[in-house]
Amino acid sequence: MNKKDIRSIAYLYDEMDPSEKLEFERDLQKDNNLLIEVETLRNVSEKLGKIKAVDPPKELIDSIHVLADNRNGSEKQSYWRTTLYATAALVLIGMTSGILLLDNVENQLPGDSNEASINSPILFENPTSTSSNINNKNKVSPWVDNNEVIHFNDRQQAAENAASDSIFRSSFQKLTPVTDPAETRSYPRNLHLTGNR
Amino acid sequence: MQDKELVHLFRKKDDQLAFRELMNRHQAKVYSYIFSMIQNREVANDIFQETFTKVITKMDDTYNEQGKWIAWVMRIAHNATIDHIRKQKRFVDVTSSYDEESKTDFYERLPDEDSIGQHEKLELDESTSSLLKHISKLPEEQRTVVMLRHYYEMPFKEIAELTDVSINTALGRMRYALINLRKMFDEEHEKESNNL
Repeated sequence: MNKKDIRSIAYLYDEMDPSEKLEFERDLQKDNNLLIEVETLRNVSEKLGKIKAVDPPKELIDSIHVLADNRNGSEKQSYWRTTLYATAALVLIGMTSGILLLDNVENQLPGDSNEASINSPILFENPTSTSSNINNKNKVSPWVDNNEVIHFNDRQQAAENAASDSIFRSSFQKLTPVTDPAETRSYPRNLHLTGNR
Repeated sequence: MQDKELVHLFRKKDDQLAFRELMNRHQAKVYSYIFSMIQNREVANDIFQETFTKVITKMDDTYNEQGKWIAWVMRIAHNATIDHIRKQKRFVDVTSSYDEESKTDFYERLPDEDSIGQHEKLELDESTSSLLKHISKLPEEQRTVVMLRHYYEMPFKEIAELTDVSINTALGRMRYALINLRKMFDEEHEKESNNL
């Protein structure tokens, strides 16, 4: 569609600049066909102006008002919910940090040397001691066996010693005082030697 | 009080009276536009409700107070209406093949033109009903421009923005719509003369 065709609509619906409008009106005076077209279109447009607005049903409008009311209610609810969650989160953070702080304070109390020595790294247990002392006392010399298991000599030794101690202690507890010496004499007689060496 | 101020009161101060005033000002035009495009009361009611549900729920997120509130509302109403029309078209396309059972093709199964919106006709005055019947026969693009201009007195610049076309295209569609409507009026007049 060329610009000439849409000018009549722009004129009819008052969508022209004053200068364009003036020019178009001059053309209308010169061109009868253009005048007929504009008048025909105006006639139809005037008929369309008779269309009356259709009202929506009242219940539909009421339901929309209810929706608008609820929107505000739900917004308020969500505001309070957000505030509640934020408060709960703050309390939780406060409690967690309090517990952690208390825990740290307890760890730093003097006189609990065992725990402190466990937590501290082996090589830096005694920073004032000489390097030879460190090497002699705390040096860890791990080795790997054929099964690729790491062994620590000194720890293994300590573990073995602890194990044998516990066996000794438990066996010692099993001993009972002798009440009848005659009974004890029969033991050697009942002794059966089995196997050979 | 201007629309802008009412919208501000509703958004910021939950002023229900402001929202009611906005509805009073625009509800008939928005509903008329939807109804004229759809020509069915129930569907128009659904689309109108869908439109205002979106308006209420999305006003805080998507409406920019710099623009006209009603232009924003009309865009929502227009999109919902066009969505519905396109869905209907797709439905018609699916069932357009020849039906073996009834031995009718698509054109034979089309409802009689006069039966479209027959029950609505009773509620409207005769001239409005007759005009709407003619307008409903226009192509969708032309119908949109006619209704937006005549119901809403929307400037062509805004119609062009709403329908994503140039202003010249919007003006051109209006011209074709008026020419087509004139033909329909002439045909109707001719029929009436023959009946007499």
